[in-house]
Amino acid sequence: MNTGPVKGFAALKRMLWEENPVIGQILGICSALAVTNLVKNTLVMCLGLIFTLVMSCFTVSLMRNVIPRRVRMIIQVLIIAAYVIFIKIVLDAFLPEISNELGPYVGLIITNCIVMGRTEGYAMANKPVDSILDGIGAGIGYSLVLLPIAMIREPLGLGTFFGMQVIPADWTKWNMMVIAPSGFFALATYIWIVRALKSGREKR
Amino acid sequence: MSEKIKTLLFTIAVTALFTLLVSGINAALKDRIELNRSVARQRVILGLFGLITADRPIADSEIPAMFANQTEPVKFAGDVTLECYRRKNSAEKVFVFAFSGQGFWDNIVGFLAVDAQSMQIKGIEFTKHGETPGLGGRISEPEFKLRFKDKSFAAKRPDGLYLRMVAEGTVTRADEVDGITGATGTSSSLEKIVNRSLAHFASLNQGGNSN
Repeated sequence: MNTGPVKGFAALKRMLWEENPVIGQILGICSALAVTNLVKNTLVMCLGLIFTLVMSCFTVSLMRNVIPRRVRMIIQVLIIAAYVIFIKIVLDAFLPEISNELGPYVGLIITNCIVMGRTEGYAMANKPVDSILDGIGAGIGYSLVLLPIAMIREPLGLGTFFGMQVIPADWTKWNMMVIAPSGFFALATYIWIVRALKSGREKR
Repeated sequence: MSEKIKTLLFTIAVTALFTLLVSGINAALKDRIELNRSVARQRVILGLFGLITADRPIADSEIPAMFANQTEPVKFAGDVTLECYRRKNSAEKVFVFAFSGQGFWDNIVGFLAVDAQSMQIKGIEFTKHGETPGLGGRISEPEFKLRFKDKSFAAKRPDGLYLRMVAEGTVTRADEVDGITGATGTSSSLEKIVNRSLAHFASLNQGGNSN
């Protein structure tokens, strides 16, 4: 972790690569495993997380000087939960099919450690604008891991991409790629590759 | 002491504020969510009657009117539990009724379409299930649902079932349905659910319906 305060776009940028929440901090793993078997669901999940992060970080940052220290975590969870329930209700109302497919995972954004990590670790000590940028960065950083994994798992497991058939129907589907264990393999391989690239860069 | 009270009041105030926001949005969108749910159900039922096909898609907004015009609920004498529908003004004796039961993981819920004249299954749809994606979850694939089409439940088999799920690709008779390889749990749960639902329907249908 950097010691000095990181402001502005630097706060956004570092979340994409250097301090990517999934690769660097191994946060948000449960949802990374659960939703990445369909690109569409993954995209909605990522957008949901970005929205939650931005709104929670912004709200927490606005209130950072009035939240009593003792109850700060409770207040953060409350704020995060309120936004997540908001997403769930809006999805139910306007995108019922996707809401159905995502099932409990939308609600589980509340427990995604990335959100609380950013509100507690950044928004509590920084200005609203910086906190929003930090939230966007963390959300995009999360998406940068989930989307590629989904783009590999869905075609191999179901022969489709975004629900459209992309691989000929006589292709033997790898059922393995659709169920959770393959999420572990895909995620681990992805983290391995990215970390190898990272350490390669640092050596130079 | 006053610090504690301040903290308490602050927490209560913030909780009240966010609860108000969330319940406000919920209240504002409740009707729409309810409508979405009933449209989804009605779409499934209409689809089972063959009124919605891939080459004739129907917009969500038209579903409720179509459902009201084309179908009517059926009540059987001495039964209040079965949710059952038939076409209005149709000579066909096709019924669509709801079923549910314990699957491998979660409840499997859906609708069955049957022809009471020929005692054949016309179609099956699942509205909710929690089977393993890629394995038991394949029950919601069109190809699997077609396996039930035209299966007969006119008489019980020697083993007491109307239909038996057999190993994938080994169907030899009209009272057998291909199961799913790798999802034996789902297949046998579904076998139980379907047989129980068919038995329930057959017993009611024998008693005659009183509209």
